[in-house]
Amino acid sequence: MLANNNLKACRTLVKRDFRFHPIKNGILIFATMLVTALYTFVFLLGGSVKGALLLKYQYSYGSSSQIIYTGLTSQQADTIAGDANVKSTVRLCTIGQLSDPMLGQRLVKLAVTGQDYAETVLSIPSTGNFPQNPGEIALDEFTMDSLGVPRELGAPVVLRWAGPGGKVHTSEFTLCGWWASPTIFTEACAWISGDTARKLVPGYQDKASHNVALGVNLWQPENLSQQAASILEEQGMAGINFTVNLAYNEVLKGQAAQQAIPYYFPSILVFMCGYLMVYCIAHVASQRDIMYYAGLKSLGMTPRQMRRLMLEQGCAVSFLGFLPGWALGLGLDYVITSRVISGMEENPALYFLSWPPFVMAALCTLLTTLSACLLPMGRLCRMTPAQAARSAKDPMPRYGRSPDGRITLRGLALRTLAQGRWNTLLSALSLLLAMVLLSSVWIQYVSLREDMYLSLNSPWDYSLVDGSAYLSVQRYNENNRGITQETVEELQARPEVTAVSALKSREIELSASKELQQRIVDYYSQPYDGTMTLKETQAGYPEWCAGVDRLEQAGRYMGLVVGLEGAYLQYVLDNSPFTSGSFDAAAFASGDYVLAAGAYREGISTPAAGEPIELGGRTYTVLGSVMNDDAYISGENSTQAAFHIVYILPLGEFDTLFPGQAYRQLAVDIDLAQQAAFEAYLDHYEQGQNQGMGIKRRSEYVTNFNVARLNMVLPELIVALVMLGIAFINFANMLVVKTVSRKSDFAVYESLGMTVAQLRCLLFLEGVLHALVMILLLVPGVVFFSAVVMPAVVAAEGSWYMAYRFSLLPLWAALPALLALAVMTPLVCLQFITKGSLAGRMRWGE
Amino acid sequence: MDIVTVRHLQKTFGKGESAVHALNGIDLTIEKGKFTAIIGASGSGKTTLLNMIGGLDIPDEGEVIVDGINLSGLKEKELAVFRRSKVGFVYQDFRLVPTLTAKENILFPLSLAGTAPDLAFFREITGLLHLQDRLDAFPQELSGGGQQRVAIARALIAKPALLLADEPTGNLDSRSGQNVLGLLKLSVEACHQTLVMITHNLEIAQMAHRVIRVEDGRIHQ
Repeated sequence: MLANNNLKACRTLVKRDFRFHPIKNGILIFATMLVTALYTFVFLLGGSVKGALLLKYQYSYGSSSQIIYTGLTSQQADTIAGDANVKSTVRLCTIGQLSDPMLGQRLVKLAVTGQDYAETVLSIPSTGNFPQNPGEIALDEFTMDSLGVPRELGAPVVLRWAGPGGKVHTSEFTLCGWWASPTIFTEACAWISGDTARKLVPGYQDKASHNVALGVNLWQPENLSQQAASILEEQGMAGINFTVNLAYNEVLKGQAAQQAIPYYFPSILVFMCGYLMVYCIAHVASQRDIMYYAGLKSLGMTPRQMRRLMLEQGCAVSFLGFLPGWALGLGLDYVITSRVISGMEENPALYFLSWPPFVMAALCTLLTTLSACLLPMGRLCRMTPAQAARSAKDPMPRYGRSPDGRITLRGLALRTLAQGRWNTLLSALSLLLAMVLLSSVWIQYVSLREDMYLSLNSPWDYSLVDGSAYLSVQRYNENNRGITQETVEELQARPEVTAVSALKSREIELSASKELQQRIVDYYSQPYDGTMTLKETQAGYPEWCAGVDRLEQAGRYMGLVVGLEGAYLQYVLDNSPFTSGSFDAAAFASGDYVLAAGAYREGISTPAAGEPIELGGRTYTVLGSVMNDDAYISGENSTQAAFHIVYILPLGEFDTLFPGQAYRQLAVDIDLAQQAAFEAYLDHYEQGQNQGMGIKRRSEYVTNFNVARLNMVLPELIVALVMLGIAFINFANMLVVKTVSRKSDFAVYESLGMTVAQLRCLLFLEGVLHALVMILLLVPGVVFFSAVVMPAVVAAEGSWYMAYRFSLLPLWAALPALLALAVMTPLVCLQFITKGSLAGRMRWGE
Repeated sequence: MDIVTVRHLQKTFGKGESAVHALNGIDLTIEKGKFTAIIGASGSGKTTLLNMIGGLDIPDEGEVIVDGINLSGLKEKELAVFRRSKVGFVYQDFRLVPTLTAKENILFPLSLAGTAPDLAFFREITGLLHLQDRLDAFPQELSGGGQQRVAIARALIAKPALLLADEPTGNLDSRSGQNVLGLLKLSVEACHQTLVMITHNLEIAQMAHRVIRVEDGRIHQ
């Protein structure tokens, strides 16, 4: 009799169970390994995504320092550096800030080279070097392109900059180096040498000069704003300016955590499926186990001891699955995360590697396994030994008995199918769950439409854009000459090129007639949604509001005159609906007419069709007004032109109005059969002759789209595939157990005269019947889910380049594998269980 | 006339030190139409001998001839056909097919052979064994005695020349055991079959025409 407090016996029984049932425990360990791997992968990926978002904030901030104090004297900088809370500092001596309006919203410091500081703001020249001689300067590529500085060492650079007192200077420098900085808005630097600084601002090194920027890292990087302020207060320097790294901002940290949450969602699926898988595997062996546990109960084993027994068994298989599971999860993370998080030199899986995801994965696996193992045990604990023994007998259904008593092999196979129907159902359920998950991922994947994505992002094969207008945040510099007439002619002469379309633009100050003035005021005064007017929706854009106010009060506004041809004109006609008039190709080509483009909303917010408009001293007639889809125009306009009306002219007419105006952008279409040759030409051009022109390739958009599309579904895809793998293993395990456990039965069959060929035929039929049952459950389930549920899921995604597409490809791919597995598994088992004499096999299991 | 002839039969299980010599050169004949009982202690080799006669196991040496068929020369398929047509088995633990009803179990050997049952004979033996009312029951729905009666009917249905029974009453209480034994004898006599039965029960053994004692893999008549 086992004492109630004797739990050691449980461990002995667990050890023996491993010894005597190696296949069952091996499969359980394999399943827990896969579950651990999935949890590890999901948690590592989620952690990496969160880390990458924080890193992005850090890049946006422009520095790896946690706090940057500015306007310090060198003595103040020393005092802060000596504070007990400060771990390390980097120092920069600025003499001013670039003030050229072409830089738009970017803040670029004019500073004396500091190698340590340059490293923290990722501003080390990749071409050329730091300034060493008087008059030299090193810049980042964004600044160069905005200012129209050619990418040539030794090129002259004329800069407007504001000194310490705010006085604006214009100085000439020589370009000595540049780098492709990820820094876009803040903490960008233009490096000059100490000698140059002394010339520009004599005495800049005086101890009293407030020109030191100090990058600080703290021992405890939490609540940075509070710590930064308290350091100043403690040192008696309250009022000093400082900024805090966005990556350490509590709100942004919370935001990053929230954005990373969807990457943790698959863990719920892992729990559900993992639970089902482990439960299925444990349940397949339950008939034998129930008799075993019933025997233990009859010997006096208490429910507590039984729970302990199952707990130890669950722990044992989990612990044995942890190590290979972690390794597999890390391997998955290594391969997948670098695809999800792009743009990092080091593999993000290694960069963001930390231990908590492994611990979380272990805990979740333990929870999954134990809950799956303990549920059947709980049921068993409530039974008497006799009830448990009776529950092990699977009653045969009352239907399907042959009237004449003769049984065929098909009939016998059907009876076998009915005998383990609960296991078969569980197996089918886990397969259905995995297939539904896989189908869901697949339909989401095929519903992401490349054609829709490209129609907006890259309507033509290549866009060649002036360097100052490459990014949407860059202000286009009308004085730039990044794209020359020679460039256009060279492109047109290329054998691969089928069409080159050009676009030029010019901002001009215009006067509005009283009628136009009133029309625009009325247009923006119309209600937007009952709570505010159209104009009020733009309250977040003060420059735009100022532009409308100026029109209302002074009748003056900015016009953006756009000269275009070919593909650009076609884009306008395809994507900008007319609000008055219509397009007449002959009239437009005559040069006497313009298209006026206003807000993308019903109503006329521009001069209407038939009205005159004076541009550059010449009067045109408005051919039609359109709702302006300006996605085809690269870069940003000046802040003065935040509110503007677009006037579209044929390119030839534009050149007559504004002779000498350079190209803003080109649209190039090629013969796709010669794409490789043209790409090689562009590569050569980018590396050798580029004078400040950005190239956007449709092929890159296609690649990016395909990569992004895959990345969007990759975590769920991996989970679904592994789940399907586990479901297949579970199905195979059920078949193996069902076949092997009847080893002595088959020997009896043979003793009664069944030939091996008949036995083989019986098992073949059993396999086919099992496959048929699976197919009968899977096909309607997956078809229903794909056809009825998925359209709503895709609609709920709300992505503009997503359109539901029905596909059953995963199902059709899985069914042959399922059929092969169902047929082959029992036959392979048969090879092993028919070895030895009939007498020996009949004794098996006794 | 002998239906079974066994010559120099040897069988060893295991190898080396753990080798067990189950049969040590047995020579034996069994007369047709008689009831022969095999007795002996546990592990003496009785079941191994019965398995060799029924073609369930292969001897290391020697030969077994049943109804003129030398089993040593038979291939696997021929052995299956031999078992199906010449031998009927009755086991201590019944070994019924759990997924088949009593009727289907009884007719199972004929189903395997693809031959039509002799319905009159079927009715005769099920009547003899008192199974008429339980033919639609599955084995798990029958008592131990009921299951053994089904097993006997199954062994008889193909009208085999030889009936081999391995302690058919071992799992039954004495009353059921007596009933089963009586029915077995009755059936064998009715069908003019030869019965070879292993038993530990000397009372049962005394009912046999001949008793063979097996000790340490050898015959002691």
